[in-house]
Amino acid sequence: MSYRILVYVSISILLTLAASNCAQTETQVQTPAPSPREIWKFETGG
Amino acid sequence: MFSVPAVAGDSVFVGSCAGVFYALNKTTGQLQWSYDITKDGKQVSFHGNPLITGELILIGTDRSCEPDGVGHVYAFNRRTGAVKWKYKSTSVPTDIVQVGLNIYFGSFQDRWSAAKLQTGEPVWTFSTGIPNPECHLARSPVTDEKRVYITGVDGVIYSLDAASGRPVWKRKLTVAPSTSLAIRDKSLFVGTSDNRIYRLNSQTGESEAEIQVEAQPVGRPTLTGDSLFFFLENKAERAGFIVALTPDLAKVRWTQRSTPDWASERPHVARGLVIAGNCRGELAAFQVSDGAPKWKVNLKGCIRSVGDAGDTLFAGVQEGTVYALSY
Repeated sequence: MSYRILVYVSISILLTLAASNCAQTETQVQTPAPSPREIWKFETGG
Repeated sequence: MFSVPAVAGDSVFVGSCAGVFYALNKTTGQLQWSYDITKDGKQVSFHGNPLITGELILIGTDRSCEPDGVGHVYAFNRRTGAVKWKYKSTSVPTDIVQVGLNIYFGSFQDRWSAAKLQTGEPVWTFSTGIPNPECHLARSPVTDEKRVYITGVDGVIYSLDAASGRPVWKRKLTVAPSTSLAIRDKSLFVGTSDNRIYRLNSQTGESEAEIQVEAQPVGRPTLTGDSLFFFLENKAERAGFIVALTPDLAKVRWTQRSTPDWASERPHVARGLVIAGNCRGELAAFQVSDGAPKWKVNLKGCIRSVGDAGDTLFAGVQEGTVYALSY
């Protein structure tokens, strides 16, 4: 019985870690670099 | 607007195509001072980039190749805009570069000059004597501690003694250069119209390495710690490229293709990014290490110049707007 619990807990940990890694990779790929933001502009007229 | 926004102290300096040179507060964009060059004759353009040295900012002016056009080198006090001296010439469309106490610049008429930094007093001139009927834009000189390197209208690269203006060597490549020169240590880099990039020994002019690239190198190259960046252009396809090479020209690190071609004067490198702009108003950044696109922002106009200071990026567009962007 304890052997089954140990296997169950181990598999759960592995699945959690795998899911965590996938999520991290996905986040890294999908997060765009922030685009520049305009602070000011000056018109020289030509 | 062509001159690259140059930053010194709390100011950013830009020259407009309407003939006015501006000092703006780099944080707020407020005008600090300006100088209208049209009051000194028929001139409106700032094709070259300024030289900032101590209290001075020096810039060249021109009116292309118009027969009655004039040009100057101005030395402004960079805080007040007071003209310390001005040197009249036929045209000065190049950067102003410095070796020791002298400055160096070129003209559309393929006349190259040295003058004293503090007074503008002429030191020497050098001319290839080759006419320039098609009005090719003179490419900016580069310097090391002893020499000035120029590309003449005849397509020949000259090494001039900085003190005397006498040619030390000259080198004609198989076909004419299509880019400005870049220099590091004892190596000169230049692209040619047959899709090649060369590394020349700056002491002798001998070719030490060359590499074939997939389109014609254009504009000005940029050198960083371990990379050399060129713009390439395929006119038939209106495609532009940024190519990153190892400085020994042993290999291409990466290439990024885009349409339309790039219009800013050189690949601008800052904060781990290569930044370039085109005439659709797109300002784009790519990672220096692998060319991966990082961001793109749309401005209004044809982006001709990019400069930076810390976390602020400055972009000048041909239609006359200077943008300050936080990035």
